[in-house]
Amino acid sequence: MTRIWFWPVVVALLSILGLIAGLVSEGLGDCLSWGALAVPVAIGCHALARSRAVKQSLDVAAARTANHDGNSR
Amino acid sequence: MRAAVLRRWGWVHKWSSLVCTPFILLLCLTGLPLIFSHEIDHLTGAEIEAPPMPEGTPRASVDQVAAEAIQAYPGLVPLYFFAEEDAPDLWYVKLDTRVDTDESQSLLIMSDARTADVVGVPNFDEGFMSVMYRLHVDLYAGLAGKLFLGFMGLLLMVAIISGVVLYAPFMRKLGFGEVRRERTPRTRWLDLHNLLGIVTLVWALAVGFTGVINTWADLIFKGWQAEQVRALQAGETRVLLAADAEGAPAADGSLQTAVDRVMAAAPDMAVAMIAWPGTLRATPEHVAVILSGNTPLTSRLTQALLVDPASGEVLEASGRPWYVTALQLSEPLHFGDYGGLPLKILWALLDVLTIVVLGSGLYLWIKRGASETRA
Repeated sequence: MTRIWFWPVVVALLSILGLIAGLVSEGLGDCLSWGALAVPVAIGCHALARSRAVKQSLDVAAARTANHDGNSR
Repeated sequence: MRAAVLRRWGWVHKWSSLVCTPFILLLCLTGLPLIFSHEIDHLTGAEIEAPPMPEGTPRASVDQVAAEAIQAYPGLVPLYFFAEEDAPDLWYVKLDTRVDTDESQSLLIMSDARTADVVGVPNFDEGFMSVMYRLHVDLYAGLAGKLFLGFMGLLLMVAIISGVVLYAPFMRKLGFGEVRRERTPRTRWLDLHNLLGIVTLVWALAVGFTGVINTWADLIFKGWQAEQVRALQAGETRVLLAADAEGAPAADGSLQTAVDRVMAAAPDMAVAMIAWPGTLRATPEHVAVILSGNTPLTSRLTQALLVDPASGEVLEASGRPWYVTALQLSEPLHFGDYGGLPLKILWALLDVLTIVVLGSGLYLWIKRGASETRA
């Protein structure tokens, strides 16, 4: 249970901090809110980018295998 | 969790999502340019600016501004004057045929606060941004459209919460952030859907729920007006400045003096809005002056004071009720406009991630396997 929920809870708490910090204080609060809200954005974008990159390399590998099969026939 | 319970949550997640997804996708897509509406207006030159004048040029009285506006648009009456923090030399003046309309035919003009001249009419009713705005706010269907979109927002809340319940069973054999890339596209998208859904959870709940509250704005202000009128009739008012108080300009029936008396009663506050008698934000006999404070939080939480232009008495009919506080806090949390451009960019990226969650959810449903169709 702890294993599953630890990081989601951390990200959720950071998001709450980010949403509130900019609202209650100018300057430092704004910086805090940018930093905290950048965490879910970074995790999300990183996962999307990596998933695309691996998919492309898999596609290339699949195409190569297909080519190889074609040549050997 | 028992399999039967899990299946029930799955059913809730599936149907709440399927019903709201087309509309929430529309809201996410139209909301994206709206995050930057200020910047877009500025770049496209749609923004109206007051002609430069030496600093400290005296301001015209609000009565003069109103008179010029009525002269320029015969048959219309002023309802509201709005002051914008970043355009101190302009008044946004809302005109309509009557003070008690639903504002569906209202006209917003901009007047120079120093010369009282009408500077222009912001082009809110046509163009790309206006279409985005109407699709986002009311689907061109007025209050009914707003309430419908609000209901879709509530379904989104149900979809998000049921999604969180389903997150744990799906993650039993996976680490946080793990995406099984080597498996079928459906498995990969399932993992991405779960990961993106759980990291955008708080933001999506906050923006979704504050959006729902914003759809109730008209009803909330109607409720507050009724409360103020009731408090006035019951005599439950707090007099901030008596009619015969010293140290404030004597009432002369003019609006400007009425506003000046409010400012004398509430120093350290700035005028955010002036509402004419009879409008939704005022009462039939009083002008309402909506004041805002000067910190990020108090500039959102406004105070409404009522002033009788004839007697000059300044009252607070009823303090801001909790539902108005909720609405006023909901606005920045929905718009993401309280932390400069970096916050707007983060808002846009979180919006895009939410679009991916919605899109992948739809994809997972379309590509559902034999096992899911039975569930």
